[in-house]
Amino acid sequence: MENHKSVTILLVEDDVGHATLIEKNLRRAGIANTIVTVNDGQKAVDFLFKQNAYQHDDHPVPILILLDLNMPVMDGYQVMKILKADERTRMIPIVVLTTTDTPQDVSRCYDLGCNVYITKPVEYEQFSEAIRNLGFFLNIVKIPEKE
Amino acid sequence: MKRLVFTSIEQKLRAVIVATTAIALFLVTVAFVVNEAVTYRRAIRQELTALANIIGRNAVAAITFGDQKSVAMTLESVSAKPQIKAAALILPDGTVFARYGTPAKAVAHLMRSLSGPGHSAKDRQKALADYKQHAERAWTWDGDEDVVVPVLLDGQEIGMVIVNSSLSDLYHRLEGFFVMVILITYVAIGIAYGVATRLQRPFLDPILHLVQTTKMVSDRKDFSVRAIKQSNDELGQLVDGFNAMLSQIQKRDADLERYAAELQDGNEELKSFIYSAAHDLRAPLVNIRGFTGELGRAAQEIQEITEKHAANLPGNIRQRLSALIGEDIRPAMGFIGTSIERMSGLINALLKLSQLGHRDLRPEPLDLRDVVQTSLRSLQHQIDLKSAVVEIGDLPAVTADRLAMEQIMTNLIDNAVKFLLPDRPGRIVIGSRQTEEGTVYLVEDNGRGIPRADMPKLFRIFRRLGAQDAPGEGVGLAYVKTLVKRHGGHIWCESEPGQGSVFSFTIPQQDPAMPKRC
Repeated sequence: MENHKSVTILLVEDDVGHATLIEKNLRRAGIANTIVTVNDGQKAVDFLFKQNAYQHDDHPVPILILLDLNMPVMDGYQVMKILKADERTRMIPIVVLTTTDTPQDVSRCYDLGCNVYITKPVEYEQFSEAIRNLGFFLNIVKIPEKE
Repeated sequence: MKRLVFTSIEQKLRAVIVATTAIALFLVTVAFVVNEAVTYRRAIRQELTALANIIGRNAVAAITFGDQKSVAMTLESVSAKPQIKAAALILPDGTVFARYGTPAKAVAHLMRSLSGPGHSAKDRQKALADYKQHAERAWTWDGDEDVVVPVLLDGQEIGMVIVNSSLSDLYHRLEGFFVMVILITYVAIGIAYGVATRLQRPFLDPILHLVQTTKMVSDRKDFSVRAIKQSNDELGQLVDGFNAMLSQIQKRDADLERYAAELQDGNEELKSFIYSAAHDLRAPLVNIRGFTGELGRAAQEIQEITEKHAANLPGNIRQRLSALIGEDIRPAMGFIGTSIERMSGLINALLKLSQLGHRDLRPEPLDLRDVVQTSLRSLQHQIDLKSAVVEIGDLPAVTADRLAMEQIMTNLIDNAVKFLLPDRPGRIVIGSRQTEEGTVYLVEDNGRGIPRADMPKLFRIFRRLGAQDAPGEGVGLAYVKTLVKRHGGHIWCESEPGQGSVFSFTIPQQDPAMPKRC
């Protein structure tokens, strides 16, 4: 599955334990893509728009975002709002990974444009499958580059 | 005495006044009539006695000389008085010396006894004595007045004069009185009625005002209304007392409303606190679960490495390692695993319960039989396993949230099935009965029942009562209670240990504005 390597995964998660577990399990399931972890929403936005701390960072594309909802500084909803409002980031697939499972929260996420909503604790087998499919999908359907 | 059944206090008061007047008037009239009769009779008696005395004195010589004619003339002279019906002079031996008029009643009887044939001297004496006794009686009821006066000569009785007078004059006068009394009574009652109507206003008006005020208070539930004091008497005090009571009620009402609002706030706070606490507990739980898995894998790997390199390890170290993995780490992981599952279940239950209070209810007219059938279908497997018989009784239509009613019924029936006794055929009855507060829905079973001591804990979350031989988190009845309460109803349970339980709940229908959150 060489083609998956080209997709960079941005993991936005404030709980170090959760981040570690997600990464470990993705790796165990055979996903070898680069995984960049940031611990709040603001950093994710900065990373994607190459601003502030990530000003001089080389921007890897394409990207897939694993997004937690409850985070300090900027939460997952705000991140989604910003990304979906901007032409450059509008097409980036977003997988919401959260402990919240109220129907209101789920539908709010889909309204904001998330592609997959997954509730923690995660069934890692299915989770990895979903990631793989999304990565596969990303490689086939080329995201039109604006820059 | 029969109670007065007039509708208003006004009529009662008037009746009392009129009745009092009438009774007083009657008593006065009776006293007056009696006095009149007594006075009249006393007067006529004196008059008749005087008359008889005059006759007697005039007759002394005539008796002595046997001059009946002269006595008869004297007797006749009393005819000037029209009431006098008869008079006679009788000798001591009973001989009628002279007589006048038409004797009637007692006198006629005497005359017959004295002058009729075949009467002995003794008979005559007796008749005379009887008549004397009759005449001396102060009151006779034959309508006549009789007077007997002896004729004396030198202290010797030489005859007696009897005068018999009719009392018709008195009766005429009394008849007149009677007519007048009726007239006066009639007029007096009329006047009393009018006066009563006028005079009772000062009593009646404050009472009517009080009645109006209480009506206003209870109709409008407005405790700020006050009655107006119109006088300083007992009625004024009543108004003061009533107003003071209203003030107290108003204050308590305001207090109650404040407490209710505070409670509501506290309740909301507690609910959102439970929600966030339960929700936030999930994040660390995800870590515990995830890293327990990691530890498990690490242990597995250590075990594999140990086995692979078993030949290179000293025997005691190999044994120690496999003991550590097999007897310490694995059982510990097992305990951690089941605890995580249990904790996860509890957290989910808490979240579900706190979300129940926030879901908007959509009340709709429901056929409860449908709802129960749906519940029964979802529980069919359990019911079949216990081979329980389910009876559905009368279930009136209800306006309520369909999902909530399904959850209520499913939980109650599920409980009923779960706690059936294995040693007797299970029987579950779902029905209703009508009470003062409306329809009460029932789920009745003949299961193991609930000990009295456990009753207070019955509807509390995470309380699992009795033998822990059935699965569950201990949240079912807490859900049910929350759902029933959100419909404005209440739920209770009656149970006999070893006999069975009856769960009853109400879903009030009259108030369409259901509390959305409680």
